[in-house]
Amino acid sequence: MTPVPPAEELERLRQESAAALSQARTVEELEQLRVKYLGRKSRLAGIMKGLSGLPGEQRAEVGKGANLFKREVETQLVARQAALAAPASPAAIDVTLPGSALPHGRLHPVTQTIDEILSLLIPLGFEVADGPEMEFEYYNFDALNIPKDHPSRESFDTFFIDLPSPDPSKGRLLLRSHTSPVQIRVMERRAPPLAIVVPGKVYRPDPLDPSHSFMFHQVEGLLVDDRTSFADLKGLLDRFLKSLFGANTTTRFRPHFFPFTEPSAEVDIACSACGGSGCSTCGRKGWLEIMGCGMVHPNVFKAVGYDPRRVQGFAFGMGVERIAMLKHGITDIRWFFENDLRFLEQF
Amino acid sequence: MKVPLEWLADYVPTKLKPEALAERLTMAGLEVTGIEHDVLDLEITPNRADCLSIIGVAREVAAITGQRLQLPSAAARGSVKTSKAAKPIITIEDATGCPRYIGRLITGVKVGPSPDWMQRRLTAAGARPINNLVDITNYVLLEYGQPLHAFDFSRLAGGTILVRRARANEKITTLDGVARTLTPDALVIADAERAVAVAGIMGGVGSEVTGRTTTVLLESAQFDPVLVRRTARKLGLSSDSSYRFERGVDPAGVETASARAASLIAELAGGAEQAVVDVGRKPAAHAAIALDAARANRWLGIRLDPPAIRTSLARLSCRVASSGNSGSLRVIPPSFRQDLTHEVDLYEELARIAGYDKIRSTVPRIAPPAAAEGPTAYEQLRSLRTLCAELGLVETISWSLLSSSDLARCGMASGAAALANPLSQDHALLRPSLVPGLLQAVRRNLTHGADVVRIFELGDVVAERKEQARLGIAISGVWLRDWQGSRPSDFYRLSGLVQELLRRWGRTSAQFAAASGSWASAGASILVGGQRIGLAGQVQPKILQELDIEQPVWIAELSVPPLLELRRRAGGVTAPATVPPVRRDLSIVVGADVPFEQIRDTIRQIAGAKAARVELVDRYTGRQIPAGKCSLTFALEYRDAARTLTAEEADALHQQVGAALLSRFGAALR
Repeated sequence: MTPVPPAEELERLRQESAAALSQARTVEELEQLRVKYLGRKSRLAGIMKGLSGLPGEQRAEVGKGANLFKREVETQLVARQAALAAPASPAAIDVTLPGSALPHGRLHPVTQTIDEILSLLIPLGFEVADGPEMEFEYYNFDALNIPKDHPSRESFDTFFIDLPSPDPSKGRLLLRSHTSPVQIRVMERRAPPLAIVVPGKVYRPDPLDPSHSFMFHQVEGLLVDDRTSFADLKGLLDRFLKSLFGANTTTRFRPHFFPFTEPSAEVDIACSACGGSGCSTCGRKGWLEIMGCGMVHPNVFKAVGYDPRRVQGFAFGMGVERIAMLKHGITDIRWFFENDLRFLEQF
Repeated sequence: MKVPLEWLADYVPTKLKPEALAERLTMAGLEVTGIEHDVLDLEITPNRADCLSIIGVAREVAAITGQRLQLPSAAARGSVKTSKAAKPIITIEDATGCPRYIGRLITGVKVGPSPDWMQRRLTAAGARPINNLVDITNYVLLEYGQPLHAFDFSRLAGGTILVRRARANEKITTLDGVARTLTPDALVIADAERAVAVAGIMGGVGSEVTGRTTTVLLESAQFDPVLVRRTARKLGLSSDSSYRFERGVDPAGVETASARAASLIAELAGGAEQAVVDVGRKPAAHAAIALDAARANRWLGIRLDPPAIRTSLARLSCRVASSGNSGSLRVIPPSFRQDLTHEVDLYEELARIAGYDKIRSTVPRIAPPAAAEGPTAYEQLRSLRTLCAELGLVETISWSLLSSSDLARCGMASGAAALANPLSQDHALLRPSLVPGLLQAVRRNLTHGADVVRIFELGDVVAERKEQARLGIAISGVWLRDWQGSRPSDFYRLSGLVQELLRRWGRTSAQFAAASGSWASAGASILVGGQRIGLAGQVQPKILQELDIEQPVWIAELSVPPLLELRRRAGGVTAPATVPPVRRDLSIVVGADVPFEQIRDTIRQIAGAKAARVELVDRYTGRQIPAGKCSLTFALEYRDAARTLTAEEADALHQQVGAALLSRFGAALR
């Protein structure tokens, strides 16, 4: 048998190895092929070994071809290895399995509603102020022009606290029935002009039912300077309510009575459920009572040591739960305080 | 206040449809809350006592529609035959409590049913017809707002009326059939022997008009609002009469209403008036109120000239005079408007008559605050709330008022502040802690099938007589679960939350020192810089049992003021290190009773400033570890702030750490 010339054999090996490598399915197969084509017992090793027996010219040529072959196989091996290591078929992970969620926290709807209200008023120049829930009779009533033994106190039935008053000159301790005492506390401390908003918890002895709770939240506003008028109050609240309930909201100001404001008004918005024709949401009135307001009574200014001839301004207040109920279609105020996660986690 | 439209039409014949009239009244401040069978239901605010009568409402209708008011004529009655012998003796002992008392003696009355039209009107207005005399007093009360009372004169001992304070323990049975004991702060109407009525509130049994009555003493009087209110409250007795006296009746109406009733009695019960005894002061004229037109306009944000102001106020029956300067007015309100005492009361009337809806809205120019006081407590608490929510907790708000059993269960029964006038025993005490409320929330959710509860509340409690803000966290059930595995809630989940909160809130961390509390077992005090700021732990099984909670619950309660202080004091941040750390693992076997904190502190102490990270990555007890011992594995990083540590330096430090743990705790390196 005539021996195949080395150059010819290299060419055959090149074709054979290329085909074998491209069909290798596993890393182990690749390793076997590496041993077969480049190993110590491979044909390549045999050719290299036989180089010394070849004439000078042919030796150089075959040597060059053998090295080229070796590099080619090595390159193919690396490429094939990378291909085998790459992510296999898409079926390897099920991308539709549920992702791993982190524990999710939330703020209470009352907190969220207060935040929304404040976020509409703070940019207008109002500062947030607060005060205690356990309050003196003086701040809750007397300083707000609600004298003892006056029927106007009747609208503000109040829980009194069975503790000795730390300052008997300010009367008994009670749970504040509105956030208005904070007006007095701030005005006692600061000179006008001032503009504050006061969020907080308030208490009234109303038995629990779907629309009443002995504990609820209010946001109060107070603006005092030397020029702010009732027309300004209307403008501010109209703008505020349109921001809160939508640009198409219609508002209505109706005379009312609060001892600490004069004139006083109740603010209604047209019922969004029926559009003003009357339904169960608005008690067939077509309007929803949304807040109370008015021009601060000069007696209140007197109580805090302001000169009632030189200052004027307005105050307003609203129930947070009532607003949240209207905005979210909540039908029972007690849900806010039952802390059922199935309710809270919807916000 | 129920207003039959047919009755109202006697005084102001309005052509408005009921709905239109209701709308006008509502927009004038007399809110109509319902219309049924041509009867308006009005909500009268406490300041508008004058509208607690049909004529009062008619006046208001006349004022807002510009119509004329037609009042009934009270003068048309039989001639007064005064016979000296029969004249009752009326004495006022307490002139403050009763400024005026008019008694009319009417003889020859025939008691019987009142005419149909009167019964119909009374019924429509919500009063029950009884007999003609009683019906007439009720009718005039509803018509004028002046309460009246009819005594059977023959049953008044001595034929006298004495207005005096009650004697101590004086007894009277009021017309509602209740026997009452009075005290000297109550005002009574008495005859020569005993109290026959609680002044302004209710008459007594024994002097009331009956079917046999022929001679009547008709009382029309004015009583002090505060006195009536206090007595009514004390007795727990309210009547149409006391309701009106408390709010203030028209002093001029005492006489008019008395005459009107006498005329109706003559007409409908055939009586003849024998005597009119008018005791006390005639009402003083309403003091004039100075009104500055410019200020009124500035206050309301409108432009009304003095003539327009005059016209508006005149429609409300005010007398207006201008003094010199035309912008400065003197206004005398009518006697029935006792609520108009201050200049701003007149501003409101101007706005009402103009119509609130006619006042053009403007936008206030708010002056920037003189000096900001820094973030308010609310704003700080808001950040704290947000942080808690970011840590995976759902915010709850629970009742601030709890029952004594709610508190007793958590060992907090004694010392909680109580309400003086609770609505019910379920909500009679001010919560001294957030824990009972958190537990109720946990129970509610577990009952409804939740398998994890992660909640917090930020709110005030009253402890040691002081209101103070607290932060409470409660966790129960599987902290985190998905198909790859789950992590249960446990103490370390809770303490980790607290640590993370403190780290993010105040760039600080807490120490936990084993402690228990009224509700906690296996718990710990939370210390920051040596100060105790709260308690964390597992809720005692006994408490959970009473609440029917069948799985463990962990709670932490922190005091908020120290947290706010931490936030304020939080220092600056440090720049990220630029030199790389050298990482080494450390595994030791040590007595399981050695507090971890001591081991960690030893590592930190030996490595000093070069301890860039000391992290426990594994704690193991069990096979291969001798009983009573545990294996701890730390990932450590050493770093020198100034230069790169060599491997040799790090190894030397690492050996020192191992040696110290060996000598201090007998720890064996693995």
